[in-house]
Amino acid sequence: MTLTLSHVSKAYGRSTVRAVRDLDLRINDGEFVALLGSSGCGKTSTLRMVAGFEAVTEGTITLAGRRIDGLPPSRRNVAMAFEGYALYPPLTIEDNIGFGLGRGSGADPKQRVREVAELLEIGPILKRKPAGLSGGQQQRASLARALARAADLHLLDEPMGQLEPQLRAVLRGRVKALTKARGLTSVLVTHDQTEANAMADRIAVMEGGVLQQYGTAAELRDRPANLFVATFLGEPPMNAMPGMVEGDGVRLQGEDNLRAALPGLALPAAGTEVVLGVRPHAVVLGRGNWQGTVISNHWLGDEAHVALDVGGRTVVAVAHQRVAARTGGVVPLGFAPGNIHLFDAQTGRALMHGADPA
Amino acid sequence: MSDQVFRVLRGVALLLVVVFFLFPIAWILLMSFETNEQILQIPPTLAVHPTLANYVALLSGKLQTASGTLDVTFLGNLWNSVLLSVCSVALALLLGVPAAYAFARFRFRGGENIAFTLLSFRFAPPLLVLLPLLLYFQDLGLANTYVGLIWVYQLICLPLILWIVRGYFEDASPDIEYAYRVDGHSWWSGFTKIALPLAAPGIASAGLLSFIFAWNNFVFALVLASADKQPVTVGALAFVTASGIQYGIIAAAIVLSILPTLALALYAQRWLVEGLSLGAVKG
Repeated sequence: MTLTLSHVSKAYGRSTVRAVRDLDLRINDGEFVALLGSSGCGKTSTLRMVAGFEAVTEGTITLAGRRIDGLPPSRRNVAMAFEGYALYPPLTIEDNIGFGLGRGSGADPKQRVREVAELLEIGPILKRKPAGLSGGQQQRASLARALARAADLHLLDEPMGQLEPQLRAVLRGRVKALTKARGLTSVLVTHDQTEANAMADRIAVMEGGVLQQYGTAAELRDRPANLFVATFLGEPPMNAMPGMVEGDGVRLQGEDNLRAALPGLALPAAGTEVVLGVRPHAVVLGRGNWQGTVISNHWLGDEAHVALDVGGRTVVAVAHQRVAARTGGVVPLGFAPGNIHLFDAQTGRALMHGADPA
Repeated sequence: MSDQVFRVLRGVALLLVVVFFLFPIAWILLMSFETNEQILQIPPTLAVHPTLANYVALLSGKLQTASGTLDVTFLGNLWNSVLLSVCSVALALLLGVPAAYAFARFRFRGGENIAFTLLSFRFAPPLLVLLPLLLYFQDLGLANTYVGLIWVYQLICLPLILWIVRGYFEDASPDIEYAYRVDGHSWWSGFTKIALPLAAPGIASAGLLSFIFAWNNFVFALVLASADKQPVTVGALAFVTASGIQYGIIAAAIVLSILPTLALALYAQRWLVEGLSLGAVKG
């Protein structure tokens, strides 16, 4: 069901510091949205306000057309998977998963439990109690409990943090497919951008209690709204170099008067202080107008990460083949104007993207 | 070889500890079946001529001494002990468990200070507060009443229960209650069905501990209660009579007054052990 947060803020105690500030977010019926950010960014506070564990300081939350911010958790009709599992210790995994079922869920509860358990590969432990199980197993049981229920909204708080990487990759796909098949509206809270990219239809990036950008993974990658989003997403992070618009390019700060020629782009007015952003994957080695001294060169199995010193700036490049350059060697490098981003040097707000139509 | 020596030595050490702690109790148990003359005999004898005279005197309420017959109110005292301890612990649980939950789960203004103030009741030597308390109680008409005594006993029971149970509530993740509430249950049923059972071992041990403290209390009852409201601890003073200290009677009284606490401890042990096996609740 559609979830709408409007102007939602959260302050703890009598503190004037806002854990969440003026948050506007709309999640459509059947949509899978990830709240992405580092710890303390306000994503978990947001989730707990939606679930009803924390009171909303300001603003309103509506779910399925009804205002829920004043309701107790029991009357919001949401399901939740907890980061700390929160399984009922005296019950078996099967009973834990089936606990909230039966009340008008339609489907046969036993059948539903079995399906979800198969999907998350916890079939063999259904008769066991939580105390004897590993963190990963308990976490999957908690996720299964949330997914088995027929709720208006499914909240998943870091639901896969304890899993083995291989299993995590498999389960991401299965959980996403399940939510789509049953038309579940879901909110995933995570600090793992790979998880957000793999599972979510749209991603809301948060920092300092403020929503930074809300869009699809491709939008966030190609058109980051500000310098934070640009450097937060992507591994390794985007190269960011301060400078000033000059003619049809940017003159970078530094004694070497290095210039990035950006022909054919609708640049901001000359003299604007900017930060030039280039993703490591867009940096081309072996040709270009810049010269860089290799600081390090690591082959990671399927791509090479090369760090270069360009007139005192560190520029990281990612290549899909092995790079022959040795540490200390000088390599030409460059990038296509279509792959750059310019941000306001003061506010960090995006001024233009190379991919924008000129 | 050295392994066996070690095992034997450990056995001996354990035996010494057990003898050290159980000897006084065994001695008292023996004394309770002897007459005062046998106890005070010099040189002491190990030959046992068990007699039930002490118990008969306690239960019938008539004690024959060299200087005549003495009325013994032991059964009344025992009843007072039971009444005072049970009511005090029950009241302390009723007040302390919800308070412990509040202190564990909610942050509120001055919360820590209130909790610490309650704990500080146990710092003050009882004698320091007893005299002013007696004066207040006389003005309020609470001196020498069960209600007044139970009230004062809260100084013993309430902080103990509050602080022990609070720790248990803090150890259990609040997420389990949240999960229960998200599943469509009210806050109250989350408290009674999830939080209370998870803290049950703590509540049992805190209740048992405060029962023992209340049962063994001497000085509050000594000052605030007259003969008909006195518990066994104070009542035993009556056996220090004009015709000498009635060791046999005192021993029998001790044996009888240990029994209720012992029975309770054995009964509560079930929950204490269960509590240990629930230790992996945190998740």
